[in-house]
Amino acid sequence: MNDIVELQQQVEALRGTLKGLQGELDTLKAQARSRREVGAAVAQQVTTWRAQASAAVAVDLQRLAAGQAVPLLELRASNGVINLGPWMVAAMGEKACSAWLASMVDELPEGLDAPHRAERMHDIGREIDMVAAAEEALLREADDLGHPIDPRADADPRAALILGFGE
Amino acid sequence: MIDHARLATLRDRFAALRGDYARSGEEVRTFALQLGRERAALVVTVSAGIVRDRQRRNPHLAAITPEKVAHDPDTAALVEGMTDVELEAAGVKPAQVNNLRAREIVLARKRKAHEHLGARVRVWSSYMEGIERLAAEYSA
Repeated sequence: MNDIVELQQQVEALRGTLKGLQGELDTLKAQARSRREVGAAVAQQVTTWRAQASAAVAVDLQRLAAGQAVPLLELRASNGVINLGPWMVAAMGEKACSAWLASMVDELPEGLDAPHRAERMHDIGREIDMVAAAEEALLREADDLGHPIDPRADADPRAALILGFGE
Repeated sequence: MIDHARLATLRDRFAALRGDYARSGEEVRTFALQLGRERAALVVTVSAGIVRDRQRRNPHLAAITPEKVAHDPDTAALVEGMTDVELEAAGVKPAQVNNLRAREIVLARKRKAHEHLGARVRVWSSYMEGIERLAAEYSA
C-alpha cells in the first residue's frame, strides 16, 4: 500500500513539474521579444520619427525660401492616417519622448532574446517529453501493482504509445 | 513504432470504466425509483393522519380519502419538509423514518460515486481521443 501511495505522490510531483514547464512555454510563446529587444525597436522608432519630423520641416522651409506660402508644422494624413510620432518627438524633445516610452518598456516582463528564446523553448519541449515519459513509466508501475492511476486528460499520447519516447 | 500491448490495455481499461459508469448509473436510477416508491408510501401514511385529523375536527368531511390527499402535490411538499418528530407525530413509525433517512444517505453516496465515475470517464475520453488519433496515424 505504501508503494502505491509513494507512486501517486511521485506522479503528482511530475504532473506539477509538467504544469510548470507548460506555463513557462506558454509565457515564452506569448512574449516573442525580450524587453531589451522591444526597447531597441522603440529607440529605432524614435530616431525614425525625429528624422521624419526634421525632413518634413526642412521641406516646408525650402518651400518658404522659394517664396511659397507654407503653413509650418501642419498635420497631413497619409492614407487616412496621421502619424503623431514625429510631432510628439518635435514637441516633447527626443530625450523626453524616449524616456517616457522607455519607462513603459521597463514595465514589460523581462523575456528572452530571440536566440535564447528559441533555445529555451527547444529545451522545455525536450524536458516535457522526458517528464511525460517518466510519468508514463510510473503509471505502468502502478498498473503492475494492481492500483492503476488515471491518466491526465491532456497527456501526450506519444508517451504511452511510442516505444522509446522521451529517451 | 507503436506499443500495441499498451494500446490494448488502455482500450480495455477505458471499456471497463465505461461499463462501471453505465452500471452505477443504472444502480442509482433503480435505487432512486425504489426510494421514490417508499416516499410515496410515506406520503399516503401521512395523508391518512391528515384525513383522520380533519375528520375528527369536522365529521362531515367523509368524502376526503387519504389517496386524494396523497395525490395533492402540496402534501408531498409538506411531507418533504417535515422533521422526523413531525413525521412520527403524523403516524409514520420511527423505524420507517430511520430506514428512509438511511436510504437517502445511501442514495446520496451512490450519486456521488456515480458523479466521480463520470468525471473519470470524461478524463479518459479526452485521453483516449488522443491515443486513438495517434494509433490511427500509425496504422494508416
